[in-house]
Amino acid sequence: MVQYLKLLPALLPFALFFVGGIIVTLVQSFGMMNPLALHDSIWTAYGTILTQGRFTLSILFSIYVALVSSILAVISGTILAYAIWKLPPGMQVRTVVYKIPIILPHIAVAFITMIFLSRSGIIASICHNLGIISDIQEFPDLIFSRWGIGEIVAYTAKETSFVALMAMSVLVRFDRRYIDTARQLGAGRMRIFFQVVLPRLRGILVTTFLILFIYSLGAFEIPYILGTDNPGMLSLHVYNYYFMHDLSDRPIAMALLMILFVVCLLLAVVYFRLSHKPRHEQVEN
Amino acid sequence: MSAVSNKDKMSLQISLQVWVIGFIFLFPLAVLILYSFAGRWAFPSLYPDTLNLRTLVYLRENSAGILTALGSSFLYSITAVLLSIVYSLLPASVLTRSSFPGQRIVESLLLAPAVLPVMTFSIGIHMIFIRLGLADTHLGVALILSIYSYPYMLRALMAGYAMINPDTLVCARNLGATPWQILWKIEFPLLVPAMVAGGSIVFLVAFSDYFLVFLIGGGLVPSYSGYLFPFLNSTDWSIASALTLISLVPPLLLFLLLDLTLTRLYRKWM
Repeated sequence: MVQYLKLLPALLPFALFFVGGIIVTLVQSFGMMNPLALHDSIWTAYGTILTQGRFTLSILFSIYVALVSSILAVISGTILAYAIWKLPPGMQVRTVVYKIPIILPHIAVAFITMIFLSRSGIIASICHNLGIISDIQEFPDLIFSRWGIGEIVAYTAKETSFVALMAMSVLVRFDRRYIDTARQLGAGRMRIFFQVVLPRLRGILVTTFLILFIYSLGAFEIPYILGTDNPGMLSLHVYNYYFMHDLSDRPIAMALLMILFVVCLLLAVVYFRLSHKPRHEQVEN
Repeated sequence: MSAVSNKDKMSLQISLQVWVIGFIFLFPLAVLILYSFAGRWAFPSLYPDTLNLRTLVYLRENSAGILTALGSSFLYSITAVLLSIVYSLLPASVLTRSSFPGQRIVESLLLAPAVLPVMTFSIGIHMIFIRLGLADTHLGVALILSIYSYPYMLRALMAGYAMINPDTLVCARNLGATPWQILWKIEFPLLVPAMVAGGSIVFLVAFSDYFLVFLIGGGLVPSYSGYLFPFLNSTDWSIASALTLISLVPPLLLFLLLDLTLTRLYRKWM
């Protein structure tokens, strides 16, 4: 019994604020607690979302941006971690700058992305000096494109270091002699990476991917600086409906949040199942 | 002969690799420094057309506002770290040491707030905070940041408890130590590294957050991210660059300070 009481310091704030906050969102998505939302059914807001194409488009667009940026971050982060790990230990210390994006706020990474990718930015200037483009108009409008290039680049830039940090936590425990053995047995560089190193990293990379995917799906800061409304990520529409529209539209913002919540909850269940597994495997070994 | 040149080739490749990694991550910061001192820098110049010290003048004239914002952010971030320790210290020990039915579900639930999108629960919490009078206050901001980020502390402390040898505690109990003494005199000092690791993440998450501070603080709680944000959306990239660089200073200073005091502390304890 004392055991359960000891859980209270975390359970109380969790139940009061986290669960409480979601219940308030759920109740409001049904049009309750709202004097201006005169709906005939509690599902009205959900009906509006599912029948209006732009909301469906926004959900698909959010999934697309989160998916592409998380995949790119996992790939580049793994390569980065492997490159650092292969260095002699004395040299690894000098690559500590790879952690800078972890310290930088999301809004700062979004700003740096803008400096680099905008039509008058660094990359456009370099392209002009290399003779690839001859005029500012020839450089594609990457930031405000319909394909979310700015958002994807910013998320990838911010999250690559995080993936590398996670992969390093596994690599430091990885015995280098496996690689020497593989090399003696005649394995090439590619084969060593894909068949010796990557299988060891699979667990941490899958769980890290899920965390990044859920985060990018619902985060607000980067789309707010780099995104456009059309189609626009889900968090931007929630923001617009919550802060810009009047009270009668609030159930729509809340219903969007609930849809986001359910999708992320399902992914979080997968995440927790996967992240619990390794411990049992270790026990068996 | 060929062995020597092979070795040279190896070390050349290694230093090249270090340089490439350094360049990738330092180049954006170098661009920010250059922008901070740029007067006019128009497409397609590769370097500023004119240089001036306008940004430094701005920073000096507005130092009071900038320092207030930095201090406020630092304060609510540290409060969030302390709150996360309060939430996690006892539950982490239960989740690590004892097993009870439904333990894995409880553990997953308690770790969930860091994994799920903040927007989904923070807007609801905002309405609860308005009722409780916590909206637009420093405490409210620290509370919401701690609710979102305490799982990092919980996870770090669970790892910390797992590292403590159970025999140590048995020994202390046999010598007549009370549970309270065991917690304060034995476990707490041994958990300091885990607390620093978890606290660093909680601090970073809290300090760099924009949305939650904007939502719960309502513009009345000063914050550095709130100060910085309008500049990032403006066309004045010089001041925005300088302010972005400044946002790196408090976390780096804190980590440096922790590193120095901890090594000294451990030398004393050893």
